[in-house]
Amino acid sequence: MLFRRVIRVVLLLPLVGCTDAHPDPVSLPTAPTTVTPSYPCPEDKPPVGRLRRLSDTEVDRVMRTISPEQTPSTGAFTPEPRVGGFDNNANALLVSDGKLEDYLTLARQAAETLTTPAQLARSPCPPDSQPGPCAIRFAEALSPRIFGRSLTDDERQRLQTVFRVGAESSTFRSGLATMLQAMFLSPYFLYRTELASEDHPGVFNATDIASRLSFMLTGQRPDAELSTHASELFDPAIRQAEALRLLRTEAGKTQLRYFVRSWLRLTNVAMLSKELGQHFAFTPAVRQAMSREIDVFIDHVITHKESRLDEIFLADYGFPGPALGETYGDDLMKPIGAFEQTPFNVERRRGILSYPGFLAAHAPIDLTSPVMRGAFVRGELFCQDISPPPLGLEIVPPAPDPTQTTRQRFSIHAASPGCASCHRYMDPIGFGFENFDAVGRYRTEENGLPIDATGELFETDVDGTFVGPGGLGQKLVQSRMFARCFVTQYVRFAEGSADVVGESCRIEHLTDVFIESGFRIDTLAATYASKDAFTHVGITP
Amino acid sequence: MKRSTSISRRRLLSSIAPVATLFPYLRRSFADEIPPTPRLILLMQSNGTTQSNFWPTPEFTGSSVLAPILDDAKLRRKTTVIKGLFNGDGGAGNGHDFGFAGLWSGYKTVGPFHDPWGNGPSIDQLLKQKLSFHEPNPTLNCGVLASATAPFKNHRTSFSYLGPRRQIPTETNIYKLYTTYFSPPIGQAGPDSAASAELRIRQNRSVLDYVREDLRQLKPRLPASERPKLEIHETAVRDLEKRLSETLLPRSGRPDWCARIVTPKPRLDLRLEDNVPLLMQWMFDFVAQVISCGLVRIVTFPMGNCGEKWYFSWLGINQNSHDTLAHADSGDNADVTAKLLKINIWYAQQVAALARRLDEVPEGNGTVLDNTLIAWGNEIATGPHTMDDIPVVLVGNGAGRIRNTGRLINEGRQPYQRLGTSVLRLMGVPADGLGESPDCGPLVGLD
Repeated sequence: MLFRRVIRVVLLLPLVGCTDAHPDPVSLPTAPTTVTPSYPCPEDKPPVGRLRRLSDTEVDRVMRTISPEQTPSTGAFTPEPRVGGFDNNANALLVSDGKLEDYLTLARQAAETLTTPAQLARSPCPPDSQPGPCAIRFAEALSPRIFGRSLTDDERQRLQTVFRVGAESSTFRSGLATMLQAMFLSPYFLYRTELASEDHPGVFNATDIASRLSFMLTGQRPDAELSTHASELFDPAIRQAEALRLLRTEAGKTQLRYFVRSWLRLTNVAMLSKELGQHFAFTPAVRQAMSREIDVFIDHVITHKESRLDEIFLADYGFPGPALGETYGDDLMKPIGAFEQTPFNVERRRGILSYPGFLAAHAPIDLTSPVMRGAFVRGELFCQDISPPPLGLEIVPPAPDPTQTTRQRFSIHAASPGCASCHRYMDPIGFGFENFDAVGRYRTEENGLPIDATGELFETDVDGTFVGPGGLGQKLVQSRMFARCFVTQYVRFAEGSADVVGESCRIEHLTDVFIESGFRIDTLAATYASKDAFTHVGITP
Repeated sequence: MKRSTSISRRRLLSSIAPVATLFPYLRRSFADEIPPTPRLILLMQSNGTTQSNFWPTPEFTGSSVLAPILDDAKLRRKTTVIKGLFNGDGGAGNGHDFGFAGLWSGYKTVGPFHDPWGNGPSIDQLLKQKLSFHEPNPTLNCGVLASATAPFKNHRTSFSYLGPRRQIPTETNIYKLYTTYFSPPIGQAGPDSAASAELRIRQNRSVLDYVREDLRQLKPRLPASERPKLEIHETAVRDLEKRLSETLLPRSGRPDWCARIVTPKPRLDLRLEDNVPLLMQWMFDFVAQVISCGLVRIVTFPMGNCGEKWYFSWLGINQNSHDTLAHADSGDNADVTAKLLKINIWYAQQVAALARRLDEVPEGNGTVLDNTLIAWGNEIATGPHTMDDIPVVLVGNGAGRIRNTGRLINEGRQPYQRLGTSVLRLMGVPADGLGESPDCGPLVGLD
């Protein structure tokens, strides 16, 4: 097997020329000047004006603000592409035929839900009201939550027409429901814009800045307070203050947790399938408990540990539920509770990389794969790319062998120069996880042979050996490359773009801030929001 | 692999009945009214094939894998096997990834090794742009992806692309598809009346007019680079309106049985691998129905995820078909070869069953199959990721546009883009090449 050795090692770039590294000398207090401000990182291209379709996750969040008690959801939608692990990629999210069918179903459900007799009794349309004017009052009341703004005169007029057709030969309620379908199928519900201000070229318009901030930090439209401050959001200090406020809301915590789970490819834990024979039943209760433990843990770090990334990778505790008794075995220092903080035996587990949900998500259905786990660390934690195998190469991975450990089987890669040239970037990292099987149980033996869980990093800024996921976590929190990769991933998520690269002025600067803050994700998010780059828009054709 | 929730044989047989009973209706002639524009069904199998037992001789003998097709005299006459295709372009990811996204688009994959995506439109979407359609739904991307494989690699779930990294998700929910296309039964607004249908059409139109006007007003505010997003949306609105109207009103030429199609029962777990045989059958039934009823022109259909790891418990195999079997297909392990043969025959049986369903429906002077092209491809040539002699089988002659069927085409090595170029031409779109090879020309030997 001949694997071409190519790996693009991310270089540490000096911060030369990065004018965004210091507080901006000129801020835009309440409104932008008429002079186009220079982009603070001259060598970076400012983002271009965009139309961003809401992800299904965002639609669900917005829907919850519209109908909190009974929320129509995207649960039955066809799963969408997750480019780079994130479901909000601005290029990939479109309204194709199948998607519009899904939206039609959702619009009908939402219209039904919002026009029940109970809803109508609380609405501006009590049963004996005048149908036409009342319908518009109904739409006006919902518009800030559906569109994030008030209706225009033109919209009022057109909605009135839709209402009339819907009520024709039918009921008042049918008219309202038809009108609501139009609102929920409107592009002003399904998309958000990030467009240049018409009055002040070079910066986003104020409402779009509010929308950017809100979707980045909460995954939903601006709340009333943010909307009130929209015109002041050109002021970095106000943006930062609003960002910190939003991060403290429940929606802010949910969004941060969702980002971490997406980044670590943990959104599917509750749906994993495993097949380990008679010895272990990977029941729905087990996988759901794994998923919930991750949620509880990340929430804990956000709420009680200043949302510090190092805590996520070094925590000496978990939050296991009863269904995880067999998975954890005797790895815990006190009996399992109901998703309560429980100390780990730190000789075995430490940090999220040792959580059963993580280990199960990053393993095939029956065995472990050092390649898979190692590739994840290279790709998602260090943002390093690995070149594909050469064309025409016959790929014959080592077959399962009951007389060997996984490490011994995969040693064939190291023994073959062709394989080693590429696999050495993955396998040695993956070996460090070998104390954990495909469902995340600790083990010291495999096929009756002792396991060596020594891993190794090289061509990073923290090269050397480590033992176990905890050992890797300790390496990661000392790595600027890892910190920069995390910042890059956050900005990719915030911008809905897989094209954000680590070697850029703004990422370098944010990495400095992030490290100086003690790896606080909330500081990173608020700092990113406060920078002039957040409000700048490139000139697009 | 044992799974406690798998469906019993009795349940399976009873559940087939509602769908299977529809097909006698298909035999009734109806289709003089439907013009014989070719329909297209693009199928994708994963994990390659065993070369030694796949290829027939020029006399169409000797292929164990293709026996389910070639041993059926009617299908054999309408089949073309294409040997010699190779993918020398590569791309991001491994052979599965670039073969899956590339075969029907002609483009290399892009992105990092662990997150590769297609880099251009697939031919179903090119055709949608270039052709005019009388069907309310020009294209449909559906398939069977029930699998134990972790689903987060979703670049491996669809090969239909609107453009670079713009994948169209695969619809796997058979119940949703039936509800969308056949509920209420097409041609009927419900128990009430034509007046009710007219009213619903008017209401739908009113809603969609509102949406269209919003799109019209929003578009000029966007930079030119973003406007294509709304153009895709506008097309979807147009198609939706057409579908909502067409499926409510009786249309002359559409056979009566189209109005009697109902959603299959019982409810199956769409994620459970052991349900794959039934899901595949149902989904192919559905494809045959929407094609025959004139609701869809072009179908893209992944038969499993790219690099699928099905254990094929229904064939008694119970081994990881990707890791353990396909990758070990070096020709020196009889057990592996025998198991892969069983698997590949199963795929051929599915394709044959789909073809037969279409061949049962009279249309013009022939059958719906005669006016259809089923193109069954594979992401790679062999399990160990080789890319020479990618197995491709065409069934149907695309409304007479392939004149010489019933044979093996073996004109030496040809770049895989020639296949897509030929398919575009067969569908009536002039093309000199496809994707990365805009001048590769059509497939030599296909006429």
